[in-house]
Amino acid sequence: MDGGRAGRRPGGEAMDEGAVILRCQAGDASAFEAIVTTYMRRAAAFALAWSGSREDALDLSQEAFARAFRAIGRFDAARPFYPWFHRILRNLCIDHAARARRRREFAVDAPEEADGRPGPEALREADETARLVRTALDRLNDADREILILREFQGLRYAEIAATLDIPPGTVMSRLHQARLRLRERLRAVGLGDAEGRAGR
Amino acid sequence: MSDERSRVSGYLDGELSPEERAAFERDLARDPHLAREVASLRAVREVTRTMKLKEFPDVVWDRYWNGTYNRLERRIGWVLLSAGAIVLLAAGLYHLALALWQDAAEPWWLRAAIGAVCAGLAILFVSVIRERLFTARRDPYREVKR
Repeated sequence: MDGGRAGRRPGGEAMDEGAVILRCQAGDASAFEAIVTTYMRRAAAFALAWSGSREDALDLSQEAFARAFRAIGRFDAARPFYPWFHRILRNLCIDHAARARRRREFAVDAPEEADGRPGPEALREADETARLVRTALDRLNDADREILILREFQGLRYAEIAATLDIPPGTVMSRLHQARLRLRERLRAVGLGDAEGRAGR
Repeated sequence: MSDERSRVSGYLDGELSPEERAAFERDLARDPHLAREVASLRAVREVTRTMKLKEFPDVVWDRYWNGTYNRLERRIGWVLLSAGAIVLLAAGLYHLALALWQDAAEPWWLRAAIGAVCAGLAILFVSVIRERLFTARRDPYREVKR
């Protein structure tokens, strides 16, 4: 999924984003459904990585869409929707994180035991690793956390990250690298200094 | 395109061009420090990726648009309700205050309290309007992206 003009809805059909935006700007709320269904998974996934709570992620992403629709009259329909929307969502996530630290919900890819199911010890260790990674991520500044979420959790390519953040493609690599260096420091600070050992297990 | 150190991330993410990748691998073969840096950041990346986020169940997506639409609809409802309630409340308070103020039989302190409430509301109203119109407009940080 890109931040370009021709969105593709989950069902597979193409969407002329500019035309849909113009209908929304004319006050057609039902036209906004195509926009929402195109980007809802991506938005909710970003909010989940940021907030750590599925309930909060749905609340934040839906509120971001609602705010986007209310402000759509000021949006330039010639531009891609998602980067503009992403800024609304990102600001909501930042406000949310500043207000409260809520319950975290993470599932961890734990190493599996011989019978194919993770054992209690493996689960405990994986949970602890995930908790420490979460703590390290939370200690990063917003810009670092944002670019790491887009790359590591949403799996976006550099070009897609550049489109989402509305920054030059050449900037992505250096910003991401700096974010990784700071994450490494935070991981060491929370006791994951032996990352090489853990990653190899 | 990128500084030397950033090439490590570009390499790990498979974002270098074939020429950049070949040059990087040549450097990697002869520079143990660079090799350690690649191994270290690869480990950071892999540890980070062990923290997978739970998938949302499909029913969430089936209901997602309805939830968003309800927010849009309810927002309009809340705006209308709030505006109407404010007008009704203000009108009721105005009539009540006027009746008490004009009734000479009411004690002086009650009339003074009504006067104080009206003056306080007026000061607050003017203060908020002034902030919106002047202070916020001159705020040097208003365009700062968070």
